[in-house]
Amino acid sequence: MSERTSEDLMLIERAQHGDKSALNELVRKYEVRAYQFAFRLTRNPEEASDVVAEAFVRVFNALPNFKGNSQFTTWLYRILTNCFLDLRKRESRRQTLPIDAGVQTDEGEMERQYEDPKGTPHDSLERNERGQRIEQALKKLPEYQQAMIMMYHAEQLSYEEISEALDLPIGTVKSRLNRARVSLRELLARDEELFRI
Amino acid sequence: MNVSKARDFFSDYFEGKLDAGLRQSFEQALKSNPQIQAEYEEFALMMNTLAELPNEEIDIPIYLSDRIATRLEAAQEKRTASVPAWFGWFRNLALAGVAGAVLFGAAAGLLSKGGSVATGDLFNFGAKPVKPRNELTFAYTNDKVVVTYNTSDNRALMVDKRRITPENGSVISPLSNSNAFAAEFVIQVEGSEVPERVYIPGSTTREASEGTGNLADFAKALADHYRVPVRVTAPSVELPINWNLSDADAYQCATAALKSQPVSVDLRDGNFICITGR
Repeated sequence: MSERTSEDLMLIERAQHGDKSALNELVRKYEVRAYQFAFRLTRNPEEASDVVAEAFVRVFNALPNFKGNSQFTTWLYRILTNCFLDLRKRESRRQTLPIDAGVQTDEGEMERQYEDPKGTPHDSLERNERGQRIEQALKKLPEYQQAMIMMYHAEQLSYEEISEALDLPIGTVKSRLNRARVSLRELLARDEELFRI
Repeated sequence: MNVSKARDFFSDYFEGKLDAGLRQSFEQALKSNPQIQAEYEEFALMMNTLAELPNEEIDIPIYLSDRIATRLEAAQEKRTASVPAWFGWFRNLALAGVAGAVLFGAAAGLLSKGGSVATGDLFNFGAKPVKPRNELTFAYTNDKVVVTYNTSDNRALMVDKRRITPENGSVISPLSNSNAFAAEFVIQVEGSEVPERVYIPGSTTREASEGTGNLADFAKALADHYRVPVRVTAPSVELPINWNLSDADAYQCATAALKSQPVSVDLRDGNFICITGR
């Protein structure tokens, strides 16, 4: 067990026994990492902050039931992912007009577009063009696939850690990730001219 | 191997995880089928771009910890009846609306030091002899700002609206900030007119930039760019300041930015910027 993992487990155990400073420490330790993941999924500071705050509330509420069978970080990623998915569900319920009905994949509709609050012309110019195109294409993937891609490529979790976080067999994680990447490539290929810049 | 089947192996082939037999079949398909070849080339290009995702710099909003603290407090309130003692401590994550993880040891009973947690011994109540007046001092030693408060009439110390009653007339505590960005501590002897504000840099160094804001905003920017603590002694921080953090030296930068303001700037304990209202 790594030093970080055992330290986390000690903090959790202390928090479970009512040590108020232990959860405080866990929040301080992981809030930045949690925010980075949430921001990568939402691309919106407000939404990302809400996702992180909600995730820590769920951590707080679920701490008594945490058995320590998984790492705190993978548990946190799972909670963050669920908070993100819930946020999008709430948004889609509020949606009154369908937007951009698109390609059907075996994991759902791919074309769903969201407002990009960071998308000012100035910001756009500053960002790497290819990275920006990937960012746009990622938004069109089903949320679950977005989360998997971000966990693997941005957060650099291993297949095993993603498997633990999402409670899926490793084989399923690998095949779903491959499907997500293939879908992403298809989305990017539609804009081939820019992609080859 | 057709195109659809070949796509199933894109990731494994890219990561070199296909077994020998499948790899041979896949490579054969790559050579013989231009569509597979074109798609795989695009796939590999995309994978290389995805590999750059961790390098993206993401700014952490200044309100993040405050929001977490607020939500945790709300969650805690629901449990107040069963665990009343916990109420309020989450605010220690975000004192004065600054991104959280800001701890004043005496208030929180906790100090983060080098990633570990220490309790108790760091907070030394009653170690100093009582002096015949209320004296609040700040010293910068070993990269820490240490607050020392001695009181002859046991007057309380206010830290971000939290009331701390000294035991045996004394409080000594370091100020610690393990948050990403600078934290503000508002410290005042109860009943005194002018609060002391101390800004402790966060763990992240901000790039040099120009900025506009009030004195508190400037102090935070200064702390985070130059990695120095800043103390402001003034009735109000609502002074409009324009700054440019391109100067190599924090003191020079502060002097230049505040030259037309009713404050003086001095440097104490080596690298402790002190700004005092005139």
